[in-house]
Amino acid sequence: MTALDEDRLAGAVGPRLGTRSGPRHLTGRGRYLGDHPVPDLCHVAIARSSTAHARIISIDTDEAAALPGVVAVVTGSDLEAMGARRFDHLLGPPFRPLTWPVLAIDRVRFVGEPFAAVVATSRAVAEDALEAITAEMEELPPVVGVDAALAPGAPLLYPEWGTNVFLSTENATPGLDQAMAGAPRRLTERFESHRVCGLPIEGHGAQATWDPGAGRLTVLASSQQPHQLRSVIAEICGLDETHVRVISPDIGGGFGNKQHFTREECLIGLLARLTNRPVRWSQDRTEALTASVHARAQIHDVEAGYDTNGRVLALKVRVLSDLGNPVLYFSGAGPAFVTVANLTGGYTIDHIGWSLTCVATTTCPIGAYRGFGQPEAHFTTERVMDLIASDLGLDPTEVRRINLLPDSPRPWRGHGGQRIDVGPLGSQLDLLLERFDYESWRREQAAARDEGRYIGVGVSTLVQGTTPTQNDTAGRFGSLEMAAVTVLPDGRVDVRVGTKSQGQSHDTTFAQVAAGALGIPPELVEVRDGDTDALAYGQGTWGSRSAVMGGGAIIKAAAAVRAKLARVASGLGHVLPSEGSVDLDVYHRVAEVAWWHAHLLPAGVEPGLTASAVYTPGFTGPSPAGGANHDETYGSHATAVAVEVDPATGTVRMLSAVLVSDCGVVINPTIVEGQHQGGFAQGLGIAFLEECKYNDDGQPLSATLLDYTIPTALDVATVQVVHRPTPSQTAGGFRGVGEASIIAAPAVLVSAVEDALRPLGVKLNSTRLHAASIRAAVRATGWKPDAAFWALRLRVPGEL
Amino acid sequence: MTTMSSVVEMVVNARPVRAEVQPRTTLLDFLRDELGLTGTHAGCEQGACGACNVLLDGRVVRACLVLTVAASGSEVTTVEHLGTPDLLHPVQEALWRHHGLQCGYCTPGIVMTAVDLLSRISAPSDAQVREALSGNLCRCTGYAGMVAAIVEAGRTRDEQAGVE
Amino acid sequence: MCHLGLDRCRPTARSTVKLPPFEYVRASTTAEAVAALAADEDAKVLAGGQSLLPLMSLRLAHPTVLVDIGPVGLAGVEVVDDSSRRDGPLGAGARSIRLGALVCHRVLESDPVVAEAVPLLAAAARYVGHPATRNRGTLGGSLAHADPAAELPAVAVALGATAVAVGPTGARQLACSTLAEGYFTTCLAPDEILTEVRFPAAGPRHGAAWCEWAPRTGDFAEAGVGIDLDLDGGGAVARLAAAACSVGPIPLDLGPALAAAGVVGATSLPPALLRTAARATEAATSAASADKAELTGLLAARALAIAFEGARKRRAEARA
Repeated sequence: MTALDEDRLAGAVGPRLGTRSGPRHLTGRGRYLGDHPVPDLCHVAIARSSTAHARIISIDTDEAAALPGVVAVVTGSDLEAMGARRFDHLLGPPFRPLTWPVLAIDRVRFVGEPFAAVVATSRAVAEDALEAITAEMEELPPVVGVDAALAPGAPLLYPEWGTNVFLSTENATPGLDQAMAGAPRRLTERFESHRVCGLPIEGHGAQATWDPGAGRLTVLASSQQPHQLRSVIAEICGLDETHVRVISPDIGGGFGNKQHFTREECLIGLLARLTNRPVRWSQDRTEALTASVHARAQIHDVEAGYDTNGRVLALKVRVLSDLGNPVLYFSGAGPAFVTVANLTGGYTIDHIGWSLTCVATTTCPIGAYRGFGQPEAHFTTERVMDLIASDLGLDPTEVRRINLLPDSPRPWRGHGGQRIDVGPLGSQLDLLLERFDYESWRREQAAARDEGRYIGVGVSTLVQGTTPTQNDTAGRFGSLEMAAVTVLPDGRVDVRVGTKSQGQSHDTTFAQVAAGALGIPPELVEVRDGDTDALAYGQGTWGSRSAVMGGGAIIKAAAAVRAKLARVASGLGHVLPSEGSVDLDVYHRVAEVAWWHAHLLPAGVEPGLTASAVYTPGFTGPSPAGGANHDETYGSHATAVAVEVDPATGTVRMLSAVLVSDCGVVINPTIVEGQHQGGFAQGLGIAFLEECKYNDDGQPLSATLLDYTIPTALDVATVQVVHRPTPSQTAGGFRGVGEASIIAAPAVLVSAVEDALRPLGVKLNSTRLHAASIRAAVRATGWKPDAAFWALRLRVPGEL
Repeated sequence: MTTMSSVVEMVVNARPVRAEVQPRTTLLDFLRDELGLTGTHAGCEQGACGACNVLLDGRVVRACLVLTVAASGSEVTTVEHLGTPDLLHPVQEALWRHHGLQCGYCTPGIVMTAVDLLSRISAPSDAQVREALSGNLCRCTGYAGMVAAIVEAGRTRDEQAGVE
Repeated sequence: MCHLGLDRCRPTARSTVKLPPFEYVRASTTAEAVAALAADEDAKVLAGGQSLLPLMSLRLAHPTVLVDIGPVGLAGVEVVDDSSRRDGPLGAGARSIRLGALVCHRVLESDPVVAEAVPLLAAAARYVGHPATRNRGTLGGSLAHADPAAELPAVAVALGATAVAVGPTGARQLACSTLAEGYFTTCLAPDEILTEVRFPAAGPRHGAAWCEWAPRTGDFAEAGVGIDLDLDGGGAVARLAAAACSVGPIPLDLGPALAAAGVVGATSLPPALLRTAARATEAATSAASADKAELTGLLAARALAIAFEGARKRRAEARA
């Protein structure tokens, strides 16, 4: 597959087309999981542990089962009796072996772990029945946080392991210790990325129908990876993959939260089969916040050695990762592996070493959230750059500049084998500083300080791996994408793709890609995703992979169709060019002839205009020097923000935010900007507002949207996006974009707030930058607010 | 009168509706399950997210925090009544143009809140729009497009009113 | 946000979103409502429902009967001569504003009569939840729910509002300062209904401000202060009323502390006086955390400054 540059997709790729799905959603015509009525639909409510850690003695469901309207009440044992199989992560050493049942049978290991389920004629009745279930539990001591999990004599979640450590591994470049010892200056710090949750506004959910005659299960699931969910449901329910159909309808946001293959999705399949009734489970907010997927929750013990110019000579990071109860496929260990692979970011750090310790705790499983391990790495890397600047009295942009990857060679091979193919980083930083007007913000900062106000500037230079490919057992979770492209007799193009849009507007961008590849207007293209019956295979949407993988597969299939269009045209005495726009009259004539008038086709040309393709760029795998590259391509994004901090309340006001974006060929700038703006808002939410909190007993303290506070329109400033694309070598020249700004945001915001509070000497080592944390950090310096100054100064925007 | 189920009568999207409901049926469930108006979305059912916002007697409310029995005799307007995919309401049109939605799940609630705002303030400022939207959670967009869209929709309407 | 008090009673055991079953009584008169409440000790009044229904959907409240008092009316807004008032603000005459218990937050926020007569109430109402909940949430509901973080109970305490409660034995009048007795607990009997709240009407040289701080606007205030004052003809603070929310189980009257700090009688609010006022507030709220007390002190200083500035403007306008 040769790379297409921007020009070859010109015309269709590049314009700011309005989203296809927009009018449908704006008028309430979207069809999400809960919008698919089925006759005799039953509803499921799930009984969940109210204790962090307990042995299940008995579960009494009799009273619940007797309530009018209750169709069935099941426990984990009931499901196994009907043939349900256990989940198995299938990973070998260094992972501990682990299997888990659909519903907990012997033990519960976090508040929210499911242990029984009710099927009833309405959700309300199912919930009435939940209140009638009694479970006798023998409480066991909770394990909350990494330190508690590693403490000598800690209670064990899985006694058979003899420890709470699920996984422990390490790696280092040769000569690390000498380089560290020889470094003129050193710093040692502990950084924390606190526990948060993706929280799509539509909760997760699944709805299943069993066809007993055909032995076929159809599951609607709000899933980002329908084809892979099919595999898991088939395994757990004991069916062949050909007997399971998974449909992902409109999805109200995913962000990784709907990427895992959950107990509940399999439960719904089993219950449909058990009751022979269609059943639906819609995750509620408390479930979403306590019993779905949490993320981040890493502590990094960092040692960095550097010279007096600010150049980092050696970096050593001990990563402690809290996995919660690790009962998820590619549980929190997945993001943690991504973290350790990305610790050098876009910098040429000579020596790197890391250790990774992943522990089980009696809390909600840790898993995917937009960024998937990279935000934790980036936070540490950027903190190191800032602290070096601070130590040496250098400008933080200069410390970054001296450490950035040089412009050649490309690809740059990282220590771990990463094949980094980004565009030039130094000039990207220059453009950022110019567009952000860095110098003028430094002047504003100085002027503000004279007035007793606290303005700060933060900068981040992110190199983001995208489009991950897994090796070995995890290979089932992503290494390729599939698409089918068909030009129908009326000239309309049916595109099917194995990615799954959750708001990224793939119906629009992929129509643009297909149209560009075929040389026709995007209006002729219709994109379908999210149905295992519509396309044989696919690997879903996550990891900033869709444009590269899905777009690549579409380009590959469209190229085959286009070649055939040209052959048929030629047989009819016309010329269809191999690039650029085609003559639409000829195109439509060819479409008719290909399907309807086989006798007019040139000799040897079969009827039809359809092709399917499986695509992978092929840039991952072992590197020449050992190690492995897990990302097909890389994007680079440079971000700068200016903030004003009110040290009295800890309120942070965004004054300016600029992001210079290189996501490769830009399919639709408006949609790319939307990804950046939305990701930034989520990153801002992590820093300023959000946390999945537990008390020492393992009780969640953020179980509703009043406790887990996500940003509102009053909290988020507009990010100015500057496009500076450099094409990648993937099929469309794309690099992927969805996760960039959420990776950058916590790092750049902490950087800016610390910079603002520099006169007070505040040091910020956690992504938890909530107002109360800022107040506490400020108060710890002995600073006290002046009430008169505060009362009379300009009122804080956002305050009514 | 004490009852375990009641007959309610209301006007929904300009059509009279009569139905028997349980007291515990929220207006959200009634609209979705009984009337099939699934454009009103269940985001939290705790009154926190705004995805279920509808107009009740012309004023925006959370449908999950209104009992259907208590809304008997009222007039309800949902997102389905404001425009069609082919003929968008000006607020919907502006939101589309400004990319003020991504996954679309919070969108109906945003539309209803914006319509309510513009019925009270003819050309709201950026700050007024943000304040009005602060009860509607969106996880995808970061709000920039929707704020710009609603400001523009207000200004456009104001200018047109000036011309007429 | 409607104030649920969920920080004190978080759901964890089960996941629920649907209301538990209950009987529904649509009361068309106060007497009907009271009779229905008296008939079942687990019956509850349904006003706007913006706090009660979320608690029920989380199954943290299981009332057997909901008595909907919406049809009773109780939504009047009326300025009345009030000869019972002896403590009327200077130049205001003896006027009060009488608000039905079911006047919704949105009316408090936007009704020009309310804004003119009880500016502090209008200012604070903007901070209650969001537009969609303010359209349903009611004044009486907020007072009877007695959330310690709520704005309106603190405003009622600051202004010395009175309320009318109707029960099986008839109506009684009570001072709003005696209404809240603890976290989410009032002196109302289970079969009593708030029907009316009276606030003293503001005078011509009046200033008011509500200042609060929350991590997000519309959330529970971590600290909030309302200030309401009148200047005399010479421009000195002649009367001062103040209260804070979120610093204890019930609203805290800050009037005495600020008077002692020397605010009453002041003809200007120089920085030193603002600092003294903040310290006095901090001391008065020290039972809360030091963090909260400090925030409350800052907010008191700011609210004072804004209220004083507003009163000065009005005085200047009145003279012009």
